[in-house]
Amino acid sequence: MNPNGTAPPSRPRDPDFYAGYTRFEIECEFVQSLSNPLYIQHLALNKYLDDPAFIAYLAYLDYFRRPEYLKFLLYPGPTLRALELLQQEQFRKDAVTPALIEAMALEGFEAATAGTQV
Amino acid sequence: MLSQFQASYRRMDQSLQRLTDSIAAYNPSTAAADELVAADDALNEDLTTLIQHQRNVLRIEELKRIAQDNDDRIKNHFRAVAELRKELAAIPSMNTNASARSVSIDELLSYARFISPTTLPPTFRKQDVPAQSLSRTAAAESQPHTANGIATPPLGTHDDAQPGNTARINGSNIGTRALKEEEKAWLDSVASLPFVPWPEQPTIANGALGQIQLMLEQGKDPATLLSPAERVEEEERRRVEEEAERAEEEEKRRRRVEVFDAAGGRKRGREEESDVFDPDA
Repeated sequence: MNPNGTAPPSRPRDPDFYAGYTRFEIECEFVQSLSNPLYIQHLALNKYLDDPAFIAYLAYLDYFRRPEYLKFLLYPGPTLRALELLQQEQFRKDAVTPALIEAMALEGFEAATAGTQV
Repeated sequence: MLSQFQASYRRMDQSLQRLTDSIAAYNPSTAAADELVAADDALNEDLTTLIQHQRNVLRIEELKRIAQDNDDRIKNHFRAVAELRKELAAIPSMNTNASARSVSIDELLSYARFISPTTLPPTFRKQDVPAQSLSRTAAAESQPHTANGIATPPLGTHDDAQPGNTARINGSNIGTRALKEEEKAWLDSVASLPFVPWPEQPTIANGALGQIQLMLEQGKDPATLLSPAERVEEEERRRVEEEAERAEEEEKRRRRVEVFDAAGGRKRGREEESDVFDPDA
């Protein structure tokens, strides 16, 4: 394979492997980075949340709810919450506002510390 | 019992009477005396029997009392058991129809351990964290940053990849302390929570997606990196190609030798070929 890419590949590109990472690794990292409200704000500002293909992909990522995939998440609570919220159109529209993002961050923080004593 | 007593009394009485009659008639009969003695013995025997009888009655009473006590005790025990059972049934039971998944304890514990560094820092105390996000005082800055498993580096790293992110502030950074209060509040948005239960921006930037972004910015095509299976295929292909090349070279040499032999037999028998021009050939 030529490094400059002029020669056509001798076989079709492997869909589960990209840039030295497996597809699962990439999807796992992406879905967990969604748990960061600022990342969601970044996606919203760059108009990713208006793309129906992107929204369909987010719906596809819901498979991380299943126990056999859930065990790979380091941040299960905020990740699943973000996935749930991103399915709602109103949330996607409001994700650009800093107030909503801050509220989401606070909610996540409170949820994580809910069990601790004051 | 009573009739028996009465009979022996009567007998006693009769014999005594007979004896006194015989003595009064100046004809003491020893038979009557014997009769009296016998009657007396009979009476004694009856008295013994009476004592025995009375003792038996007392024993029966006592046994009755003991039996009654035992009955009461059993009744109390039954009552206690019934109450305990009622209490047990009254304990609110778990709703088991929600998740019928059984997870092994080891799996559960190992997963809990897996998530624990990213769920809460070990020395977290809720009273250290003020409720409001915008009005942060200096006291909030002195929280245990060392307990934060995901440290936030100073400004200016990997920010060009994520233009939408607000700038981060580390409380121990000298520069922020020089800032005025309102500027600090302006920069202090949701980003300055000392611990957050999600990956921070530098963490994301160092991950797979960040690396892909870097590669794209450097102009390298990420698709050129081959998977292990593809790498193996590639190596095989190269080996096959090399072998084919070697085979071709062998062929060429052999052909040259043949042509050489066919052209002039002088050098027949000599296996080695020579490129030097031989004017005598």
